[in-house]
Amino acid sequence: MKIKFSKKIIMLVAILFIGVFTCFVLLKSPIKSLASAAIPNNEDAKLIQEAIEYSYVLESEAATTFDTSNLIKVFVDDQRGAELSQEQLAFMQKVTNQPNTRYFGYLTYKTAYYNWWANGAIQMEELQSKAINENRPITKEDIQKIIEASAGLIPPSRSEGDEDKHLIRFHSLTISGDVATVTYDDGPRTNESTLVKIEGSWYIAGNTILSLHP
Amino acid sequence: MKHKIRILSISIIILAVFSVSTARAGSYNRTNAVNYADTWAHDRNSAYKSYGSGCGCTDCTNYVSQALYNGGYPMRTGNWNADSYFEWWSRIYLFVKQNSKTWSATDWFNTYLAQFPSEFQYVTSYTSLSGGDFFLLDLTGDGIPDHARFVVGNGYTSTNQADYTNGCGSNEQIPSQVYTLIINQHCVDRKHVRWNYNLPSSTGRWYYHVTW
Repeated sequence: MKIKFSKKIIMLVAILFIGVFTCFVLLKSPIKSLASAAIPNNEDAKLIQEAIEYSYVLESEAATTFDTSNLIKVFVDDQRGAELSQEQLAFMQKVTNQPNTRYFGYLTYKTAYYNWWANGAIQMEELQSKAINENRPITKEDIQKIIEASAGLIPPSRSEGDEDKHLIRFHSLTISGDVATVTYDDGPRTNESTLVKIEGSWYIAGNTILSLHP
Repeated sequence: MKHKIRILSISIIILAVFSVSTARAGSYNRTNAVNYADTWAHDRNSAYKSYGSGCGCTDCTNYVSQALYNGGYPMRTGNWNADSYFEWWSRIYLFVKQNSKTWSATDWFNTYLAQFPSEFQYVTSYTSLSGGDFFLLDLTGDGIPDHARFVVGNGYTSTNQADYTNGCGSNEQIPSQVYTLIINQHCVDRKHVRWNYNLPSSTGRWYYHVTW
């Protein structure tokens, strides 16, 4: 009888220990595991995450080949999305030469951004080749011409497409009808994207950068 | 009398020239610049104004400017006008640390660089960069750079956890060590990480090779 009683106590202590240990492990686990609890496990949530991941593939393509024709597969102009930041709005007003326009859709913005980048980068590449062929340095006047043709901005260089393989970590995802809000980390930024469901597919209609940590 | 005026005029011209450029072109010492960048990768030099450390700081371009200056690229003091695109300086004036916007604000710095293509060569590939060079990044998608990284050269990437945090108290996974082009940066402070660490391919970039 005594032995049986001791066994029961040992069993209870063991169960208690396992319970406490499990709680401890869960509390100490990295953001990724905790975050996954905030991601619903359903078909829409899966499609939303896939749309965000695919947007990085298409944006990489746009920055490398300057082909923006596929951006329409993941981005959309829809007023339910977050508005552009003040800086992005100022950029759009400059590159579209519409200084008084206050709203630009997200697809329009993304397309304009990569087209602007393409035009300037290609001009810079051509200037470099020309300077090499003519065996002369690039002058301030050369660069100024390109800046003037690039809405007054210095254009960046073409992406070479071999950048860091980055991990998108989803933190939270909430779906309310045909609108979803997703927070996730893409490496240098923590983002909050708004996606809208149109004819069964999810599209990114806006994004707000919550923090920068490059 | 005429002779004195001529000498005085020449002296003024010489002084004016030297106030713009105090070091001879060709004197940029990449080793010194890289050594400085390594020394201060995780710290702030009290000789300069600091734009913070830790979460949300904005010291990246200030750090790159300090490395350039300590490599021998000279300040352009001009009229000590902090709002000029043609000046680039840092100083302690009446016990107050000051610098031009071109010294610490990435977009202003980029505009300054465009004024002097014979000193900073805009290159179209990261493969043209070597230790002592730098590049700027557009992380916010507005066509304007908002972050700067300083190139250390080719080497093995760090395996130190301190180089892989988000600057706000969370650690990031330490990547496998590789031999590649490596950089240092402030905000988030990193030393000897892969040049493209944490960067999606779609990030706008401006590569600059120092030709001073």
